[in-house]
Amino acid sequence: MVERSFWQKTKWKLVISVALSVIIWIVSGLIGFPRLFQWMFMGYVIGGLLFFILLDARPMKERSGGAAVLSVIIFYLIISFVYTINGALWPQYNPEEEKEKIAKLMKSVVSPKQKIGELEAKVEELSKKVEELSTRPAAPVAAPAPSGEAAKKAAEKVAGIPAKAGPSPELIAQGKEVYDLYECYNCHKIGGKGGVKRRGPELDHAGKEFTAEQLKKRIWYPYAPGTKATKGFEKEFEEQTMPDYYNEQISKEEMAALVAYVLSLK
Amino acid sequence: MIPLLLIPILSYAQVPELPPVELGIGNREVVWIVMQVHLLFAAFILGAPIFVVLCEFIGMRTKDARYDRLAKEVTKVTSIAYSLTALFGGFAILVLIGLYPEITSYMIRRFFPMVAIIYPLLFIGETVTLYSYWYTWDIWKEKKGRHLAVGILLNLFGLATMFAINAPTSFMNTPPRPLATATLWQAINNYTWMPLNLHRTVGNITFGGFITGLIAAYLYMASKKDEDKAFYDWMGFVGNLIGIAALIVLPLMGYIYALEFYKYDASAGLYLMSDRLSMHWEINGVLTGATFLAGNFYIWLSMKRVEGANRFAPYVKAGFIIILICNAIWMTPRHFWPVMQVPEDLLTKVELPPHLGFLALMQAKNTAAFLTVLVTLINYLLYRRALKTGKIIWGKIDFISQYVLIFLGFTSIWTMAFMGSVRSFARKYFHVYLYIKDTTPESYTPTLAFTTAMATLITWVFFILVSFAIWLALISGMQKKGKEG
Ligand code: HEC
Repeated sequence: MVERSFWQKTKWKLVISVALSVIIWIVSGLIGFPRLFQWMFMGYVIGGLLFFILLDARPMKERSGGAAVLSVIIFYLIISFVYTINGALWPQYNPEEEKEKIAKLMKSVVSPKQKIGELEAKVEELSKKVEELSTRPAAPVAAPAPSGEAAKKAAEKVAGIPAKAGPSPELIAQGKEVYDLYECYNCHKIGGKGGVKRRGPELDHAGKEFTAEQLKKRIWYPYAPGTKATKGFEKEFEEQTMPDYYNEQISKEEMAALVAYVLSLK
Repeated sequence: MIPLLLIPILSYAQVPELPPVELGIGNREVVWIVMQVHLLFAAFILGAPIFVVLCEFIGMRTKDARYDRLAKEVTKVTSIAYSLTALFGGFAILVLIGLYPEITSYMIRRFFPMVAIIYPLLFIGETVTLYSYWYTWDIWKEKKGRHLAVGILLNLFGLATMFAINAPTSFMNTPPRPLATATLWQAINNYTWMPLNLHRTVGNITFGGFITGLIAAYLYMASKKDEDKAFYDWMGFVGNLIGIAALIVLPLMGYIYALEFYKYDASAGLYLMSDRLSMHWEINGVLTGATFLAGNFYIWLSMKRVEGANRFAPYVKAGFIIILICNAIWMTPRHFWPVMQVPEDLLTKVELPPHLGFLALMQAKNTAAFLTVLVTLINYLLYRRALKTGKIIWGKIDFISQYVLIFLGFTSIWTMAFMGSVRSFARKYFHVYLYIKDTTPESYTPTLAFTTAMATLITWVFFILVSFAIWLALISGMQKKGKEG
């Protein structure tokens, strides 16, 4: 059998690849893939073409000695280059943004040495609190909205919110910041924004559904005995999707702001 | 006399507080490189003995001397790699104490009985069995059963050592809660400990197999005699086979591992798979795809030289097309964006529309992975079929196959270096997730571009050392023999 030349072997591959590219481009566009994904598919066709050319390539000449060593080193350099560049081709997150965020999250940090002991002590204290909560009769869930002076005082007591004139816009704005800082939006939608999949309930009307105390408890201790799953999220409740550690992370002050923000959603 | 005894205590009390050492070239990067190189060596010396003992056993049963030679040569490289593992392990501890004193000291105290008693004992056991295994190879030539028993013991020590050190590693990712009241056993047996054990065991076998392929490729190139060429050709084939065999279960192990992150804390799982580290999985997709393609390409090259095997070419090519399509699905992300929330104005540009979102779901990925594995299995079965009718001449293979083996060795090392950092990044800005914050300036997650550059650098460090070990153990000996003969 006569060995076909490189060009003969490659010709048809090229034709097929071009045809395939056109078809994939048109079809994927019609189905609704964004441009970026279409380009990725084109990359695939090119990669596939190269692979198939390699597959049918003529057997390679044997190398030995210095030529072999050199060829291996060059080969390493090529792979290294491709792998390293590959990392730079994908969307990057700017570490400066992250540093800023971490700096905010660290504000309350004491020296790590102290912290370890302190934190462990705090956790213990908190687990005691949860126990206490569980022995207490469950808070009336649908309590009539408190009104008047008593309610204001109560609100002030539970969330530290200056209740005289309702939560100030600044506090609400701070609360929004806390909400963003702890990335609640990864699971919850507000005004249609956040949570690609429906991981947690929308919080658009949380202000109507909860009192300050209920919210605080709901966020700090989402699985405290007596808590009921949100309708439609029984499975998530069962699996404890909503983090149960905000009581260790979100400080009293942050919580006051966060609660004010969520309460403002009506 | 008594005052003299008190001196150490007094001087201890006077030790001034010293801040952690600042190297000026990035403390994190230094620890990163040293730990990762240590881990790569450790992975090899734990992975290799698993199939070495298996090969020795097959050699004993089939009386095929090649298996015994393969096992012996890999063990020779392993014993050199072992001292390098220990060297880098010691170096890693020094670097950790100097650069991250507080968290290192905390971890040592937290796992004290383990790091102070169990770990050293295992280490001694491993050292004794490894060197006994190596030095009794010829002495117990006629007593294979006894020799194999040492090999099995070596594996038990190896696995136990890895399980032991996986405890603090996984602990940092998923500490038991509440931490304050957790026992030592709870700290060890945390959420991701077993999944990490499984993932690393299988990964190490893959890695060991591909490194065996790499050794074989080097020696194939260095061989002058036909019989050596024949042997190393065969050895490369076996190495690739071991690597591929373990590789096909690796996606499942990875899946189990990731699932445990979700179970531990859904938002940790999200961070790892869909949020800040999501683009890292695109790189993982490239690597996995390249590994499967290369492994199957190698099987195809082995098949091609068997008489009459060309009749299978259409099936094999169809298989490659399936692998390519599956890899495309595997790599289709929900969006090209480095965090979970895409800014409103970019949504239609970088994110799959809802009706195509299923492509980004786990079910689609699992199907793609399953099909890729299936094609790989079919390719191997086709190879076996081809052997039934045609004969194979070892030592005569398309030379490009050796570069494929080298590529697989390089890629598996690079993958481990890269994915190891992804595991580490999953802790966010904590040393111990949610409990101990990393208060150094380098607590942020570096960019993907930086991470791939680091993986390349680490791979080079490791490669130079391993190439040296292979040269020392095998090539130099071969050249000497060649001159004498
Ligand atoms: C990993 C996903 C996740 C994150 C992150 C998360 N949540 Fe949730 N959240 C849930 C799920 C799931 C539910 C519903 C199940 C349940 O009742 O526990 C829920 C329930 C709630 C509820 C009750 C809603 C209702 O209508 O009953 C509130 C309020 C809430 N979360 C607030 C927050 C806040 C504030 C944050 C950020 C500090 C946050 N969540 C972060 C998943 C999450």
